[in-house]
Amino acid sequence: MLWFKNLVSGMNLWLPAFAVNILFQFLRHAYVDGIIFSVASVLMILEWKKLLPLSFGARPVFRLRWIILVIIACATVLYVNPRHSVQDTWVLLAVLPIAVLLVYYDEEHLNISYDKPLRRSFRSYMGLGIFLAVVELAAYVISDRVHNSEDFPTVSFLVSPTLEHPEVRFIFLVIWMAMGVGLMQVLRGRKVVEAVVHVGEVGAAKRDLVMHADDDSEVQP
Amino acid sequence: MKPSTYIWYALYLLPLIAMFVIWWLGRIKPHLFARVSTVVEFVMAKRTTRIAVVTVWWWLGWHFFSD
Repeated sequence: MLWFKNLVSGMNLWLPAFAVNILFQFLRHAYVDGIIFSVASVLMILEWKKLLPLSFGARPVFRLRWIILVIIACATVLYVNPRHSVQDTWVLLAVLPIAVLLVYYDEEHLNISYDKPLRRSFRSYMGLGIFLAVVELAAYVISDRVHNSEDFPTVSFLVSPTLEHPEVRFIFLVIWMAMGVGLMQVLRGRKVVEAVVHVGEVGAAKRDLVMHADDDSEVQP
Repeated sequence: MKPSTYIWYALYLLPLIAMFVIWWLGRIKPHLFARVSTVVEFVMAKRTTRIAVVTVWWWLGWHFFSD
């Protein structure tokens, strides 16, 4: 059992959750969804085992006006086009590389202590999230068994009809993208923007210094 | 719609209301609950977790708007 202990040592608990999810997606013949979570799982394993040393520099931060502009532009595309159109897919696919870019930034030192309020909040949100996921799964399984989504509605069953209206689609996309901005913390206020710019400038100055040092060593006999 | 269906609505709504209450408490009683931005920063500190959370977020958009 020691080899197993070593194998799973340091594993992120999202990974088994994704494994169950992948199995579930393939069982319900949602192959695209299964592939999406499979690719993410592979990336997580590569990151966990330090097999993909990928980083796109310091965490990028953006001004509020640019974020609003992008959100409005994306929401407008969804508003003017019918649901499930090619344009919708392009918007979603365009967001993907930005999201990847915002995941692979340089590791930062975390200045947060895992104190009692944080522990309490973290556990509460996690517990409620798991509870919601279990309710959704139960609704899906029961509605599938008894062929009755009316009485055992999943979130998709409740939300999907409303998304046929362009106005609702617009609002949902704004909420969804705002959630993304919040999760990736790319809007961090003027002070943080300045701090990140400063870190970038310090990095550039260090690189210049190294380059000059190399040049000097080449000139010297 | 059966009366039992309302239970499902309650099962979806109650956790969301509870999350809203925790978010609110984080703002007015910081000694009890941390602010949601602090929780997000703590959760997103690990890159593997970031990959998972961003995947779930992106998939939600994909599922509702495009899939």
